[in-house]
Amino acid sequence: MRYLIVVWGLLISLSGCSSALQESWVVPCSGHFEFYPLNWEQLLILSSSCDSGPCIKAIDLRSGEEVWSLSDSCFNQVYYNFQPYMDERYLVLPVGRELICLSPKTGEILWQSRRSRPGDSHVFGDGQFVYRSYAAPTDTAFEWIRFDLDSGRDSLLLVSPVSKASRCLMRSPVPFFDGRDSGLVSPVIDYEPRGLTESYLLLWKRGQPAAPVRRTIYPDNEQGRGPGLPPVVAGKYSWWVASQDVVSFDLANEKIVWRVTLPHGLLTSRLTLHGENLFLACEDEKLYAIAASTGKLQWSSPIAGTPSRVFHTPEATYLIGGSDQVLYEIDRHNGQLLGRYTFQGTGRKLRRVAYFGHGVAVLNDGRDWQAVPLTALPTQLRRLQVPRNNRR
Amino acid sequence: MKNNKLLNTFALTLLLLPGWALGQRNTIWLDGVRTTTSKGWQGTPNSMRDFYNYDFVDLVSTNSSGSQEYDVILGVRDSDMPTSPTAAMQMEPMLDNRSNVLGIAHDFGGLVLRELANRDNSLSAMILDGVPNQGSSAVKLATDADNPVDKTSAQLILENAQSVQAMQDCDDCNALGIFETWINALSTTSIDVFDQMANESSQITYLNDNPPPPEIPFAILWGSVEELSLMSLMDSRTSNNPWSTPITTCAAEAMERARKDYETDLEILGLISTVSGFFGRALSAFGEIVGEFAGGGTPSPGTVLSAFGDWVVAERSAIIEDIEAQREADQELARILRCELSHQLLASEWQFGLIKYGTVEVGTEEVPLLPEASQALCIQYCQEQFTGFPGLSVFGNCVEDCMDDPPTQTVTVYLPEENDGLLLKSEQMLDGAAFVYHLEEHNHFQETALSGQSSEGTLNHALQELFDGTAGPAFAVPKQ
Repeated sequence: MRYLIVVWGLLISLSGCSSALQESWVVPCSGHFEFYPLNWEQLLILSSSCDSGPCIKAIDLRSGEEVWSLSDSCFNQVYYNFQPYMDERYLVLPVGRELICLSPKTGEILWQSRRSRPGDSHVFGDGQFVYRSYAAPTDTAFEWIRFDLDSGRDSLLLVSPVSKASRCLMRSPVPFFDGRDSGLVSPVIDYEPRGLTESYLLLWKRGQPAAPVRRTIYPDNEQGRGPGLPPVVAGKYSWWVASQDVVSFDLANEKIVWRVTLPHGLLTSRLTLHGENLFLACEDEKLYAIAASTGKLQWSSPIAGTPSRVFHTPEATYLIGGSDQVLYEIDRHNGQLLGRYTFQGTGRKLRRVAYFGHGVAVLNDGRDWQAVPLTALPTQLRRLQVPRNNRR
Repeated sequence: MKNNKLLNTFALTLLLLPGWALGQRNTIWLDGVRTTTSKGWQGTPNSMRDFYNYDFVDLVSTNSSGSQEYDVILGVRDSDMPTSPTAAMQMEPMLDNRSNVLGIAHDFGGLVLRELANRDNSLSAMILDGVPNQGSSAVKLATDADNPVDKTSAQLILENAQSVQAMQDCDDCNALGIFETWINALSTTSIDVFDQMANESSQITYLNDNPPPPEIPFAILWGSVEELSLMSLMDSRTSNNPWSTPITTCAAEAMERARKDYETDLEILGLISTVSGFFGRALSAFGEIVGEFAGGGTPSPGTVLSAFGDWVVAERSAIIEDIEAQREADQELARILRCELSHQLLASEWQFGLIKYGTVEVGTEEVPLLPEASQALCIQYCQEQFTGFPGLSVFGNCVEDCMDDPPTQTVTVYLPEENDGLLLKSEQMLDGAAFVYHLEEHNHFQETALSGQSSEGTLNHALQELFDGTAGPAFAVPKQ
């Protein structure tokens, strides 16, 4: 009898082990809106379809089981490449004039803010507040608004004059701590049609609260160019993409550390930092790895055009080519292509909006999200034989 | 009472100044020649406004509910006739007292928009979507003949395809009939818009050289379809929904029925495969022909096309002989195969007509090496996997699937320039763009339409990226 109990216990234990493995699961897409899935620990929040219509769902990343769902017609307005804020307690979605704060664990709406003018599609936070920029009602300034994450209470942090807000882009401020002081930094492009466009970083430090400063990181130009994408900020360093330039900016000393000009810019993808390198999937169909400290090119690897965001795991870097709809698996250390994959069978194409992490790829064919363990990519997807030097 | 008066005055101000007081962006959406080279923007502006909630005013509406349309027939400025009215001149009054106007244009509308940008400072940025910025060789195929009494290249291509049908009734899919209607509309119309769109027209030259490319930021969206661009193009032109595929589906279903009827007869299956794979084999043959010349230097396009033409004639004759050998056994099968061969021939010749004006990249590629003993098995497997127009790339993937880890060999590949069925990639480009976005698998008529399911397709992503300001505030449109 004792042996039986031991065996039974072993079986339970084995079945427990097996359920901890990543499962392959399928969840329907929204069909109306989409965004890059958001991850917090084992939770994946993605656009989906519910009985009531398009919705946001939180999925257990391992099993695919639904944790919660939420429908709201305003989700249709989500810009697919937007930048929400998320931590353990709060998920803040910037959607037009709305700012919606949810509990990522339950999907409960904690607070909602609607302002008279639309805000930036990117928001950043620091665990206590979330920050968003808005054009001021006068059309001659931009405002930084701070929202208390607990209560949603908003407060005006800064009004920064521009020539005309309707021709200006000011991204939401990014909080930083430079080792001595904390502060906020926003990229600004003040576009002057048929004139000189001014672009700069607007930098504000708590130690010098009265005087936000402007620091130029891209020259005045007639093409309306400047830093239009969200940056990467780590400690006192920040990295920005402005047209074809990548710029490292020291926030403590308020000066440019280095500048590198790439053959093409970054548009559909986003700048990422992993380990000691910056990664840029550019429109010249190349993924570049650049040393964050020096700007020195480490390697480049051929990919496809209009690429997705870039994802990193300890083993590899992943992205999806928009123009060939193929998944690229690349050795993060040397840029060597490890594999190219597409869906099995015909008629299903990989869409750019996807998620990679926690040992799983969550892929999208426009109809369903499909989870594929990263170790099962060669078996569950069609592995394309070898790298090809052409567009297919 | 006084307050009410003030309110009314304020409301009147809002009505008089749309796009200013509300923070909306002023836009104009121009299409090209409706039904002939452009499907028109139709519901796209409404979708971007009502569905995606972007906040803009459409000053020169081209959609079906449209208020004021612009007259494409007025054309663009010709350096020889600088004072004659143009579509851009017609639109100038509509931009009076406006500023920061974003122009979004397709096809010929893009040329009009570029002229407007040169004339009027109200425009502050342009999105040029499937615009023949360098002219259109396809229009030249359809409109140019050596003499007025001669047939155009497009008409000759059509005649070749019709001769393959040999009076068979192919009206069930009617691809050739639809193509004929289209090229007749291009070649016989009295307006000279198509002449203006042709390569090296004086209007294109004027826009590109005098003054040089636009002073305001512009974005390029360019479309391409991988294979059988003509069928895709005719499908979109014929249907209300440019994403539906009635002709392609009709032809594919006929071949699928034939395949099922003869699935035990390997000889006929082989013939069906040969006919349905004609387009892909034609692409391969083109590569081989260029390859044969490559050793001895770069051949002229004329030499390559001539050699390719010889290949098509020989191959077509051989296939027709095989089809006729089956006629006694089955009249209907012979009819289906002749119809299909005519579709494939039409698509091939149209594609190569475009290639003649484009570039060919030469490179190498690792491809699976299929042992002879496995070939029949793999071909049968692929036939079972794919129906319709599988194309080369699909067959390539299929072979990889068919065998586990087949050995590979390095081959030289020849990549003709991508096109959207009407315009080559290079024809859609313009130096100095702030943003270049590839609309993958969008034929020329699909470039103005969000696909059936709103989250599919890439036009909505391209417009969202631009409207969000990724390429700078010049293209930004606020949310409502």
